[in-house]
Amino acid sequence: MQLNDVESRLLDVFEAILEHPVSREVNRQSDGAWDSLRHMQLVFAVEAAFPVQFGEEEIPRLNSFRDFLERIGDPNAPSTHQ
Amino acid sequence: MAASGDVALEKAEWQDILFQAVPDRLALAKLKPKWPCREMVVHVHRNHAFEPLVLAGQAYFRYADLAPRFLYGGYDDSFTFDWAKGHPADLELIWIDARRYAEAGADFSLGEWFRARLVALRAQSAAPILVVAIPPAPAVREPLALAAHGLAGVHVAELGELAQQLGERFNDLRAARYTGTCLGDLALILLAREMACRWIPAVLGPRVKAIAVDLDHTLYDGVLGEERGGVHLTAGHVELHRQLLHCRKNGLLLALVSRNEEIDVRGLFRLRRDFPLRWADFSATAIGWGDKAEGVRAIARDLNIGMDAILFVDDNPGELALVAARVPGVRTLHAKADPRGTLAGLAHAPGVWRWERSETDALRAADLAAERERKRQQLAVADPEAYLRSLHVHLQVDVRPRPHLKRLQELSQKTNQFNLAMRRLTEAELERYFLDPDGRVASIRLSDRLSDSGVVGIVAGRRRGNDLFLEEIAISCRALGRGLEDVMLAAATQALVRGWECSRVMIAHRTGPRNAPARNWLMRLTGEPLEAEGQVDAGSALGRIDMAQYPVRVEICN
Repeated sequence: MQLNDVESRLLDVFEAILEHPVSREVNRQSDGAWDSLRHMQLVFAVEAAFPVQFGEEEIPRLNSFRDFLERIGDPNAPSTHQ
Repeated sequence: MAASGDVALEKAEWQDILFQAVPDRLALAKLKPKWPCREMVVHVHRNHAFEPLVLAGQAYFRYADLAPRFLYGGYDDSFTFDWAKGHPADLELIWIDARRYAEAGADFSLGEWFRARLVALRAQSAAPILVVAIPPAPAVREPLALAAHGLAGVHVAELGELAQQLGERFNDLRAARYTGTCLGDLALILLAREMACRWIPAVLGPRVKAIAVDLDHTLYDGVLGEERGGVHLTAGHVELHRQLLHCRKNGLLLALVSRNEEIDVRGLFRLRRDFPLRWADFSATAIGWGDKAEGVRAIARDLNIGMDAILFVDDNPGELALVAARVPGVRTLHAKADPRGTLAGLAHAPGVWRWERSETDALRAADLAAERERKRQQLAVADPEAYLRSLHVHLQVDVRPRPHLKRLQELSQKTNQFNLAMRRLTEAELERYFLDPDGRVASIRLSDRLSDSGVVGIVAGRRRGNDLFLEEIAISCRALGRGLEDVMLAAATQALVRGWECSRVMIAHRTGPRNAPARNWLMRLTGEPLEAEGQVDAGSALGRIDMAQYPVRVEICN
């Protein structure tokens, strides 16, 4: 399956911040490098790379690649929020 | 391990990312160095999180060749420092959010409390102390700066300019809950830039002593001597010239390294009255068609400084790589096509920025010009001794040199050639000599009719019983070459033992990378070979030096 531009750029951000290769399935629980410090780094880096700003309350709910992707507004991203 | 030339090329590319007004967050995160960095231990005493800055600003530390190991105490509003007691560090960092004391009550004085905390930290550590306080308001910085006043080796960072630049973006209150600090992402990045490229190198060195700049496409657009095009000075170049002049005023020496004909270059500076930089502003030049590595070496020889004290600036990455590969330790800066890029790189070139301008900094360029004049006149006279007399050399030995503490520390830290024990004393370590009743310190000031060289020497030690143990002797390279070492050290020793019966004067020595001149002096003085490290009794040899034989006026200030 081809990655679209947004996904590809977002993966780029994730890999730069987490400092290792990641897949679209990466999430906060499964990735040991994704601690609270890196979490804020991800938030800041995604905000710098995309026209998006996260609210204080939603920051702790961004727990996976897909959460970020959905919030950025990619129409192909399946929702992970229940 | 990357070769020096490759490192210079990589750093030239990094400049484009690191020194943007607003650095690209992602590009910054992707910068991974491949060169060795200097390891150091930094104790972080904090009441808000420092870790986000480390993570955000890694690339800046690596660009400055620093690999700090940050050791953290717990969050502590009382700043007790207990956790660090007994563990040596290269730097003590106080990272304080002063808003946490806003409700401390009317009796609480931030300045008085902080002064007591600094005194407590100084009592347990001789390492330099760096204070970074938020919010960046004068109401916070001023009492803290006042609290630090007079304490050796304490520096309080000024964040006003950064706060003005960032405005509301300085803080990001959303993040405070998760990162433990209210500082915004960009503030963290830019603070890391200040810390890595300015504050820490200015405290721990090594400092840049000279900036060697290329001409064509660096100080102006175009190529000198080309019939078409010519030389264009843009507004950005004017600003670059002014920044270099500012560096010169702060004690850095300027040098020219250019592939051109010297006659053309002199003509250029004579004719172009719009150049803020003048020919006379350059303390050394290497102009010709040879390779620039040899030019930079010649500059180092001419200025009598180490090659690692030179920042070489050139628009041609190939030249940067060549010079870096052939001149060990030299630092490089890529002059960008847009001079504002060069300016940004120069403003943050590690080792260039200073906490303050010292008296010696102000004297340096004039003193160097005077030294040239001395050498020129000396060659022209038949009787060198008569010439030395005509200079009216004045040596002033001060045995209470506490006001010169910063300069004495600088001499201990920076002097390589005439440095006997290579102890590299910090300000706080030096201060201990002043506080110890048995401590003995002398400063040596040198002047003649051509220039005032300022304080050029330090002799520090302790009295033990009837013996004087000299633990640190350093003389600036600017005072060497005039045959005055014997009289300087005889006068300093005599001043230190005045008023008591001294049996022995033990001089500590240690082999350093470049201190052969000092060791040779000690061997010649005592007539004995030296071990790699140890101490020798030089009391009788120093006592035999007949100061009256020297055409020098010696003044001892008690």
